[in-house]
Parts: sequence; C-alpha cells; structure tokens
Amino acid sequence: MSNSYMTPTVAWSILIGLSLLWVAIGIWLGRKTKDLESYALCGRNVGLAFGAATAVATWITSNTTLLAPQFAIQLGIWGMIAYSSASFGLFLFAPLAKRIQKLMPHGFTSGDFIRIRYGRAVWVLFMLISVFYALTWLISMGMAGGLLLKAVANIPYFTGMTIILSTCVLYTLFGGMKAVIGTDFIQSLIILIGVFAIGLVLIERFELESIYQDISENKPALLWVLLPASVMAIFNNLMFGIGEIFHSNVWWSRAFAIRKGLGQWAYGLAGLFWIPVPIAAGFIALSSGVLGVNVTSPDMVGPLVSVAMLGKAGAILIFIIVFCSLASSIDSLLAATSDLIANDIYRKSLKPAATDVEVRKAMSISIVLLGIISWTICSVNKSNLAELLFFAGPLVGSTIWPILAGLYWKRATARGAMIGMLSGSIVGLLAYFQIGWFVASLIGTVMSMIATVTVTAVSKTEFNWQRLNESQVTGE
Amino acid sequence: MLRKSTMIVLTILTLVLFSKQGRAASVTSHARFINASPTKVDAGYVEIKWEADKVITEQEDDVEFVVEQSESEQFLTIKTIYNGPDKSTFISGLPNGEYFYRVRLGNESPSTWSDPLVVRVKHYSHRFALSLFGLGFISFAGIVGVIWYGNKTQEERGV
Repeated sequence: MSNSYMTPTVAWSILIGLSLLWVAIGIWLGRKTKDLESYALCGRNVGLAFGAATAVATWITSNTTLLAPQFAIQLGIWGMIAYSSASFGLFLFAPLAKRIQKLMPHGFTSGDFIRIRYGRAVWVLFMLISVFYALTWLISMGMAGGLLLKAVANIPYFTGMTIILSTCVLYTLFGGMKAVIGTDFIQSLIILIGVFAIGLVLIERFELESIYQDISENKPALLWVLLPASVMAIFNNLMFGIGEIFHSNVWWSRAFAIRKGLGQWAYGLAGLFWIPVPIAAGFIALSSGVLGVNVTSPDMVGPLVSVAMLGKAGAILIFIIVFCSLASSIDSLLAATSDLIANDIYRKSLKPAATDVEVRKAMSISIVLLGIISWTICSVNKSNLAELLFFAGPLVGSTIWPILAGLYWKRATARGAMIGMLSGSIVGLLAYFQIGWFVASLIGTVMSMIATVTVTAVSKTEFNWQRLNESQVTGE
Repeated sequence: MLRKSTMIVLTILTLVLFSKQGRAASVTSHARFINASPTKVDAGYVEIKWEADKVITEQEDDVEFVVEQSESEQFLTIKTIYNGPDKSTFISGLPNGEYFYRVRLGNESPSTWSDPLVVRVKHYSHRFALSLFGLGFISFAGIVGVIWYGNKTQEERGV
C-alpha cells in the first residue's frame, strides 16, 4: 500500500485537472441562476436524461466503487448481490417521486413533508437523523477520497481529502443544483464506461474458471449459497438503501427539481443503470486471489486489484472513476443538506420572514460549514468505511415506514411516526453493537414497521392531503 | 600525551563500534501478531496484523514478512498466505474451524516463527440468519405492497 502506482506528476496533473474542470463547469452552469428556486431546484425543470443521470451518479458513490468490492470479498457472491439490491431504493422511490410531486407541487425538502405531515416534534427527530446521516455520508466519502489518493497515487491523505472536499464545496457553492446536476451527468458517463471497461478487461485476461478455482480452494465460504452473514446482509443492505433514499433530501430535492410527470421515469431508469455497477465492481474484488494481490484492508480491494491488473493505466482509470463517484455524491449531499438547513431550519424555524436572497445566503453558508465540519472530522479520524456508514443504517431504516405511512395512509399519526423512528433507531443500534453492521438496518426497519403499523391501526384521526400543498396553506 | 591519544582512539573506536552495534541492534529480530489470540470470528473474515519488534526507521520499508496458515496447531500442513513488506492481510471465506497463523521475518536472515495466532471461526447459525432473512422479506414485501396498493387506490380516488 505504500507503493505509488503513478508518478507524482501524473497524479497531481489528474487531481488538479479534474478539480479545475469541475469548478469551471460548476461556475459556468450556475452563471444564470438568479432566484432561489433556480439555485436550489433548477427551476423545477430538469428533464429525463439529466434527471436519470444525476440519480445514477449520486447513487454511485465512493461506497459503490469501494464498498461493493469490499462486500464481495467479505460476503462472497451474495455480498455482491446484496450490494446491488440497493437499486431497489431507486426503483421504489420512482412511484414515490410521482406521489411527492403530486402532493407537494411547491415543496422544497423532505423536512417540509415531515413537518407538515407529522408536526414539529417528529420533524426535530427526523432532522437530527437526516443531518447526522448526511454528515456520516460526507465524512465517509472524504475519508475514502483521502485513502484512495494515498493508496493509488501516494498523495498524502490530508492533502487528497482536502482537495476533493474543497473542489466540491467550491462548485456547489457557485453553481447550486444546476452545477450539481450538470457535473453529475458527465461524471455518470465516465463512471459507467470506466467500471465496465475494467470488468471487461478482467474477463478477457482471466478465465472465470481460474477465478472460481482460486476461490473454491482458498476462500470456499464465499461461494456458499447460505453463508449466514451474507444471508443476513441481503435485506439489511436493501433496507439501508431504501432508507437512505426514502428519507434523504438528496432524493426529495431531485424529485422536486425534475419536471412534473418525469420523476418516476427518471428514478426507474436510474435504478436500471445502477444495478450492474456493484456487480461489476464486486467481481473485480473476487479476482484478488488469482492476481496474487495482498488485500491489506477490505475497502481498498477494488483499487488494489484494478491497479494490479491494469498497471499504471488501471491506476489512472480507478483514480478518475473514484474521483468522479466521490464528487458526484459529495456535491449532491452539500446541495441537498444545505437546502434542508436553509429552508427547514433557517426559514421555517429561525426567521420565518426571511427573503429568498437571505435563504440563498443561508444555503451558501451551510455549504461552506458542512464542508468545514466534514474536513475537520476527516482530518482527525480514519475509520473503516463500512462500519462508519452502516452506523447510520438503523437510523435511516427507521424512517422508511413513517415516510411511507405519511405518504399513503390518512390515518398515520405523529405518535406512530415518533415511536417508529425512536424504537427502530434504538433497537437497530443495539443490534449494530451486539451482532454487527450487517443486521442493524434490517432490525431497525422491522422494529419501526411494527411500531408504525400498530399505532396507525388503532388511530382514528384522518389527515387532509391538501395540507401538504403549502401554496394552499396559510399560517403554516 | 599517550594516555590522551589512547583515549581519543578508544573513543573513536567506541563510537564506531556503538554505531555499528546500534545498527545491528536496531535491525528487526522477530515478528509478532498484533491481534489477540484466540480471535473469534462469526462472519468468516478477519484482518490479521503483525509487526516487527525492533526496526530502525530508515529500514522499515525493507523488512519483509512471511505469514503461514495451517489447520493444525503443529503446522503439519501449511499454506503461505503472504510474503512481502505489508503488515496486514485480509482473510475471508473461512469455513467453521480453528486456523493457526504464524509470522516470521522474510529477509535474507529469517527469524524464528512467532507465537501462533489462533482464529476460531464459528459462523452464525442458519436458523438465525434465515429468520432475519424472513423478517427482511416480510418488511420488503410490505413496503412494495403499500406503494403498489397506495398508488392504485389514491389514483382511483384522485388524491
């Protein structure tokens, strides 16, 4: 891991070149954003191609390119499938996007929905979960960026992490959602082409039989149909993925930004494009044995194998792919979380009379602050990516049923949502510490489901759907 | 005068000797595992780490290690799982059982083997795993059902 696979000149050229490219595109795309709706939601006019591409690029995070191979080498064949099951989050959000656009034509954030649907107490809990999750995701990507640049290009962790985070902060700050969606489109193309190119080269160079033989001799349990940890991980990852997408403003803000009637198609298409990526990335990891690669840390198996297989070209390719996957997710998180903070906390709680200009300023400040907080935590701590990210799993899993019930059931109540989120989070976190990260989201979701469904079943109050259309509500 | 020159020579010799001894003493002499032994594993994978007990800084990257795995405590049948400068390796796909690992320096003058690291693998029970799988399936089916039924009925009602 201490070896450098690229000369410093090449590594720094790519790093600086890509950083400048994204910042330039971001500023150029954002030059015409004047009002708040244009800055935060692209004027609610994003078309199908850009809508699908931004969803794919955002969902292909550093976690997909680094954690999918980790899943494969830890949990085998089912680990790869478990990771790809996160695409169901996109598939299932497709009909939700349609419903959200219909119920909240003037909505801005997922926090808007929770506040109007369930009231302030549930909103506070939801915001805590949402902001915590966003920070966890941001930090895990900052760390991934630093680790990757160190592993592949021998660029110091601190320097690499700082450059990646500051690049994303800069172009999101100047370009808003337009910059995010525009760069996501280019980044998604680079990622998809790159990952499949590596997969194809692997298949061409090594017979599947030799990979199979190596695994069956040295890591036989990875081929088990019923490897217990994998069996548990399948629905755990699926629930984590659904929870991430259902609750996070990253996805709600896109649902509001995409042109009316296209949301469901954009998310459905994104799911289709995304599903093979973790399979391809995971397959790369399974060939580590046949290539004689020593895996020093499971979250680095993808880059290590790519570099071992393709040499310097592989190092450059993986460098670009992961940089794109990091940027496409960090920018989305910065934009959506700052939107959540500025609209939900600043405008709806701290200063209800705030003008659009003031809210936009609050968004800009939030983007910078989120960047600084993530950078500070990444600077002092380097954790295992999976364990860090999956700590948030039970929290987001506990929001699935309250959100579903809130969107579809008139009798869903604040009490049900509150008990669902609290019980799911607590029991899920207990499972995280007592059993492991590969069951925590699942157990949190199931607990929340039981609580939400039970309380809703005995509820007698009915919600008026018109309240969600804030243009028709006064004094909200 | 003689005494003084003798002292100088002795001092120089001592410095040279100490500097050589210093280098010799600072060369790695043994390797050991960092993981606690026995290490219990319930998901079939483990990251094992090792270190050399004495290393001088400028030579640290040159130190090489050999790590072997065996299913017998006496290392009757062995498999070399790593040979190189890294200080950790990730092992996965282990079936239930006891696995023994040992590490030594792999440079030109190899050291003796370290104390063995015992890794005990006992996977979660299938009953437990399948119960969670079943719970997950129920929850997933519920989510799909709520969305499908919800969209169908809300569209019919126009809300």
